[in-house]
Amino acid sequence: MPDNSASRFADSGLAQAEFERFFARHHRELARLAYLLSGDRGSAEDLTAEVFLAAWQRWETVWAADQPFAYVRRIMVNLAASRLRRITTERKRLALVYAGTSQTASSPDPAATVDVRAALLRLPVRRRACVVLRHAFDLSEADVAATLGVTVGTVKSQTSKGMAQLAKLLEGPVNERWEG
Amino acid sequence: MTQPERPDRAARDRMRQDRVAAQLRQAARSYEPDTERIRRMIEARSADVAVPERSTPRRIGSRTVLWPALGSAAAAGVILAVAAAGAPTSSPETPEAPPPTSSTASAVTPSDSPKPSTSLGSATSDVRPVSPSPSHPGSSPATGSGHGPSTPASASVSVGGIGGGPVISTGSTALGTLNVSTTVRAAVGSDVTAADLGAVWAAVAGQDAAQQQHAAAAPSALGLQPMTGATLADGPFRVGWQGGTPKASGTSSLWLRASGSAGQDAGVRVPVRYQSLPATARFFIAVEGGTARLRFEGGGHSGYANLPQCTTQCLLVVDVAISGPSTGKGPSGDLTVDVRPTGPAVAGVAAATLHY
Repeated sequence: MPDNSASRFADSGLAQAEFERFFARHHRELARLAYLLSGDRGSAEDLTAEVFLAAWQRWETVWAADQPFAYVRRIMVNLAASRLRRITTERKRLALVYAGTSQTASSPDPAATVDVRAALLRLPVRRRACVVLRHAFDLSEADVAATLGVTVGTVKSQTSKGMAQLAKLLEGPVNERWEG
Repeated sequence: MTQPERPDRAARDRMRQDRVAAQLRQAARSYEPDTERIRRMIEARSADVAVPERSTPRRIGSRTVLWPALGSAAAAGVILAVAAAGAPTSSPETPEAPPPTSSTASAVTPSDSPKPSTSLGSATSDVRPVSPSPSHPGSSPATGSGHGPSTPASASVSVGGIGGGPVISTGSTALGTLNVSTTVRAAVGSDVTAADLGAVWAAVAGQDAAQQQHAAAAPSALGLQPMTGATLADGPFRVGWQGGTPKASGTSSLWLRASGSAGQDAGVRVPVRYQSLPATARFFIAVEGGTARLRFEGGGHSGYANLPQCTTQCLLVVDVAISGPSTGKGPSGDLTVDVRPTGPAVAGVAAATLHY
């Protein structure tokens, strides 16, 4: 006897309502993750839309997950990694489009923000993901490992290397103060 | 003259890492996504993607609403369309299995909205009469006497605000000559404001089950009464009102709720005294960890409607349209609506309204 529960769920208004709530609650954080992974707002929003569509396509699985948001975040990271080439191309193109737009910045130090974004883009994408998830979004090493599908040891080493690389690229005054 | 102590290499590394981490967090916060742009992209692309996974791939026609009110009730006009083309193909970017739960994840993963059960079968047009007792024409003001056969409910309230969610199920049942139609919607948001309340309403605003205060414009017309096992608790809805008694205005996040494990008569009773027909009673109901049933009793007859199965918590707006033989000014009468959780489920009511 065929199980129609999935189709019932998909057809139901309840699924739509839950998806709507999920979008409202999480799109901002996912877009910010995409922003740091991709390096520009155009690609970030493109990626975010794509991730939500992917989530909707398998919404029942997403919703059945222990942590639906963690599941969708994993989709985000995987999409970003596999499409890095396209995103990089788009970034170059969109950089021209958005060059004249103002940053919606709450940052008191926009220059530093731009610097760190530029520095991030010089990291390999998986290392970048480790650094961003661990330090920009405060995920535990275990959660980063689960999101990326790698071991905790890999997360530790990649994060450490990534942070060292970023620090070297940024070379802030804190370092200079003691390393004269 | 003393020299400042030079931190060791480990300390310097930590300072450097902290600084970079602060810059990363700042970079993330500096970006405010263009929600509308994301919506538009989803809308544009959704025409090319399949509907959510289903065990039996099938086409569902030309376009289906993906979600009707993205982000807010104000955006209810934003309709995302999905043209189904069978089952979705597996995406290499999509993880095969959810990541494991981690105790630390909650810091970055806010608790999600309640999960509905994957089975909504019991909620679909599942309104049935229950052992109708012999008809007693004229014995109840609910039914009147000497009227013709019952007609389908024709009353409906305008849907807006929290009630604007998608319809989950509908159904109807006849209680003698009284017709009761039920429409279950998923609540959009959790705030019930005065705009959602009709001229007659009741909200749970008391301190305990025994001394609950119903802030109601017409307490005799609508009540919220505890049945077996019902208690007051902080609930998922927040109800705001004006012009009520005994408290003229206020807000309350209380709900009257019961667990089905308390026994067969566990639940919340809402006596509805309508002055004319058709009339529609609206209930702001939440169900947790299972399902619940609405039991109707009026005119010496009874019937019921099943609510959706909810694995965690579902916020529902349930309209019960009551119609009688006369579609104009009809007789006054009483309909008792019990919200009864089933098994271990918890169900309750935050507010009820009555519209004509």
